[in-house]
Amino acid sequence: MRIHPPTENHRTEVTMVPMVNVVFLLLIFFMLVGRIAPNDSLDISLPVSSSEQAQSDELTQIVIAADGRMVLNGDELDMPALIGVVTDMVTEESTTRFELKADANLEANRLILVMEVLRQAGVQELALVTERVR
Amino acid sequence: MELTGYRQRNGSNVEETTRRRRSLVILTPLVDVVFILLVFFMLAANFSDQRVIDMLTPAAAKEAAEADSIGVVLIRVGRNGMLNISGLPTTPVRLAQEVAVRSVGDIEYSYLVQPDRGVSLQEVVSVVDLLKSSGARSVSLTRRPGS
Repeated sequence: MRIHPPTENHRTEVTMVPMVNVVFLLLIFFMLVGRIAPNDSLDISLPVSSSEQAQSDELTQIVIAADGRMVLNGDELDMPALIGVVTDMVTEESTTRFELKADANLEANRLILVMEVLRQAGVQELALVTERVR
Repeated sequence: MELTGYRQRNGSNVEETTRRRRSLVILTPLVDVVFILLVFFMLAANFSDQRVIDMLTPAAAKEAAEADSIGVVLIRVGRNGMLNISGLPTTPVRLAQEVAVRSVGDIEYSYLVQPDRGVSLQEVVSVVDLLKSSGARSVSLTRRPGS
């Protein structure tokens, strides 16, 4: 009779260890596989492509929603404001590579207009963010 | 079994038992923290497989086009999937063939993709994809003059 409590205690300790192991494995899995990225302030569904080119680490992303609203560094900007901010970034921080994260339903000519404006502001490299087909 | 249990409780091994209990207690906050980390990474992780397509900026493309205008091919993308290569209507399959044929020769062709008004980005990206997978190296987007 006296022995029961210690045995039970022992048993719970034993079942705890594999659980902690599994939790650790899950933790490591999510840390390695998941990519932590800042949330887009706009709701974007990326265009699908079969491009193999990986994203660069330094993300200077301009997010463009389907209705044409634009966000850079968390601030929603209209076209003149965007030109100002981008020009500052090019001259002061010498950022030359920008990634455009545009909605798949955005009118293509609108995106090209933004690209032209960026080019005039001094941007050298532009890349379009897409999602890989599964 | 009975004997050891009895001895542990009442015998000389009291210290060992307390140590054991203590190690059991220390495990709980650790597991708590690990769980919190796990939940954080599960929620914060982004699993969508994002890629990029490098784009020449339109003006740069125009300069490149003017530099040797012999190798410039204009592809118009209309609504409802209509395609036009150098003014002639075409289909995606034929477009891929033509680009593949051109990519074999000596002249380095550059392709200007010109979407009509109302064409969505997805349609343009699909065309750019098609061009690149058929061997085109220089693809850029351009607007229709005046649009």
